[in-house]
Amino acid sequence: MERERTMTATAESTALAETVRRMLERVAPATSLVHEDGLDALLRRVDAALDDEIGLAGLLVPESQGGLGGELSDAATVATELGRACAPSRFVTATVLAGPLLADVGHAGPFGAACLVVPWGTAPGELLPRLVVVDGLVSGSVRSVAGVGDGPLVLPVTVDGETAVAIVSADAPGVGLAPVTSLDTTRPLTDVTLDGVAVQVLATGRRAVDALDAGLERAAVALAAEQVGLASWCLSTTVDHVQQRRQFGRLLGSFQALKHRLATLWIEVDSASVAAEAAATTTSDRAVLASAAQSMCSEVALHAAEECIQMLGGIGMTWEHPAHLYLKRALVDLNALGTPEQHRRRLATLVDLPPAG
Amino acid sequence: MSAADLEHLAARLLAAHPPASTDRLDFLRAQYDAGLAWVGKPVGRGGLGLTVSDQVVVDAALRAAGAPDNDPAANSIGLGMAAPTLLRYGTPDQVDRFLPPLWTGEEIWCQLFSEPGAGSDLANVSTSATLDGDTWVVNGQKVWTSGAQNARFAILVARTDPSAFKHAGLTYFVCPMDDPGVDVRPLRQITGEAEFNEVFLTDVRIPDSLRIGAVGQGWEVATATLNNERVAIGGGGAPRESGMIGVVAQAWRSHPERRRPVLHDRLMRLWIDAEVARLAAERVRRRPAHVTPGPGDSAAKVTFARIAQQLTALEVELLGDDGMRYDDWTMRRPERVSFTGRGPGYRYLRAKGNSIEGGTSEVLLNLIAERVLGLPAEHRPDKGIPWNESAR
Ligand SMILES: Cc1cc2nc3c(=O)[nH]c(=O)nc-3n(C[C@H](O)[C@H](O)[C@H](O)COP(=O)(O)OP(=O)(O)OC[C@H]3O[C@@H](n4cnc5c(N)ncnc54)[C@H](O)[C@@H]3O)c2cc1C
Repeated sequence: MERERTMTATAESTALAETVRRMLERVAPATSLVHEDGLDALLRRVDAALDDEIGLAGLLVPESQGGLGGELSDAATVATELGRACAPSRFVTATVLAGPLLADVGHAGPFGAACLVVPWGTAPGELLPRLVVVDGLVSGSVRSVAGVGDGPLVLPVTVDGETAVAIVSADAPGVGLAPVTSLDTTRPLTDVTLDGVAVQVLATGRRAVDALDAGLERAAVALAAEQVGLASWCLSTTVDHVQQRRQFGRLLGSFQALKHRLATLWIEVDSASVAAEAAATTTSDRAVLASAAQSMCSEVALHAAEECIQMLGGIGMTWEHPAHLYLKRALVDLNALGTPEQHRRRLATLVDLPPAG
Repeated sequence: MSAADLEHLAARLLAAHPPASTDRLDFLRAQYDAGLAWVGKPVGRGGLGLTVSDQVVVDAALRAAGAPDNDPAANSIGLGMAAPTLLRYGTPDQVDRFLPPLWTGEEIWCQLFSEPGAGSDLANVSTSATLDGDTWVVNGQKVWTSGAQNARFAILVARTDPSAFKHAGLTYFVCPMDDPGVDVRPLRQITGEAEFNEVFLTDVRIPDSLRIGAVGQGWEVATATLNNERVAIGGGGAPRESGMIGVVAQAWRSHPERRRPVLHDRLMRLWIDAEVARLAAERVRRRPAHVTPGPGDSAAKVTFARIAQQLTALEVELLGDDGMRYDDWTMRRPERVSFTGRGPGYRYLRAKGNSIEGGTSEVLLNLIAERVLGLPAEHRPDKGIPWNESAR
């Protein structure tokens, strides 16, 4: 019985992966990514296809609140494909993070491309809201926010010294959105300023803290899955290259110095995919596996991207080859939603391995 | 010669050509003629036949007096690669013609070595040069040519005998970049800039007087150039904490709020690596002038690339959310590569090229394994057969 259920789930997730992969090959082929002017339009097309064509809008919002009631593992499946394509999308920041967070604090929707206004480096469990609500108004700024669009802004705030979640529309008076020249051009960041903005507080205290932590943790799991997709692309692109490129009268892939590095990388990517999948499918051990996966997948993704650039040689240093986009995303996402060592520290507490001193 | 002697010579130059009232180029030419351009080079060639490290004393004295420099970053290929090659293999006439304006920076040089089919395997170049009277006619495509857009001359490796063995059919030339057959097209890099180019050579005419070394000696000459390139890229002659370690150390000092224990240990390891690499470069610079760079010097370049890449990654990680930003993606054709004039993201991305340009780290490790340690060579199916019959 249990076994059958698992098999059906695996078949469904393979089908979903294929649907998303085919869509991305059509809508966001690697060649379209290097034209940075068109990235914003590309992001809209990708998200429209995910939300409407494939029907993933509200994926993680409970059915009772008008969503699809999907599992985090479904989201991870989608994220892996987004990583493989290095596609611009607000799937992780909106569909995985901010949308269900709003549902958690009882917001009735619509959720649109909601965005949690925190620096992209914020780790689960380490969010300290710096915005303060005074007489229903908020002033302040948050730098380097990922996923800002025209959807509602979800603000971690404090009200009377208590953590709270508030919401405001992106075009409300007093909201300033300044695009940032981002290292990862496929996930552009925004500096958000608020100048006496009237916000609606949705939840305070424990409920707000739990919703924020759970949201960041979900996103960390989805990001790990995305990093696995990214790393897989880098590995397969590199393998393809060394299968074709000849120097010294030999295929580059025949040199053991490269072979062993690629084999090592394959083992790393395989381990990373186990970690990401475990984090996405567990129902009982989420925090431990999320941090383990986020720590491992971040480092594997960057290693894969760096090996790819190196083994492509001069071609890897060109703008025209998409490898650099993967490198930039891998580098930025090393620190996204917590650095690897923040996750290891969080893990250390969870598994009772306290640091020295 | 003692430091005091060198300081005395510098003082004489400064007295005869006070920097404040002397035209920049006039000063640089006088410095060259006085042998104070690069004291490690021979007398009459801008030097005094001393060791490379003696230059530090001269440069310090001249800088203290406000003398201009020759903007070495704008002509790194000329200074680091073309010059030593010309000195070793050029005729006296060629050296007389090319060296002074090369040193002063009046003439910038680039390197037309790599081709789409000849990167690590440089000896595989297929750009052809055929003799027409006393002029060579050159056809082919070069790639990854840094600074070609600024260059007046190039060092060029071309195939003059396709039926000879791969390494034996090559010849080395100086290529005038203003020849109408030279077509330079920018290639944009992952940093956003177009530092390198594709260069198409169509019936480019090079007089035989611009051949460096004998016909068929190109591989030997090119190897000398590359050995010098690796020493030049590996750097040296700089005070403690200069270059990338200086930049990252500064970032660490000025961002106490960003410091993290894990990064601190990594930083300290890299600080030691950088300091030891600097000391190793000093050892090279103290070598007598007649010792030419060899395969062992590749170690410095491999190490330099690794340290640069690890340091720049560390800086980006240190800066956290700010490290996720970039200074400017605008497509430009820069005049010089400056790691310090740009942001941490640029430094990280540009440093990726350090283990590729001038011989990849993998190729240099092969070189150390085979030429320094004497380990057996990799199987080479292209050895011992005429180039035009080899599988490429
Ligand atoms: C920023 C930059 C500036 C440059 N400037 C110049 C310039 O001004 N002039 C110029 O002529 N060239 C220049 N180059 C070109 C550079 O020298 C070549 O890119 C380099 O030699 C590698 O060649 P390739 O790109 O064809 O890569 P390939 O030779 O195809 O190598 C691809 C990968 O395979 C590895 N590999 C190759 N052979 C072996 C082997 N036997 N064993 C193990 N691994 C191997 C390489 O290490 C590399 O990782 C520049 C390159 C860069 C990145």
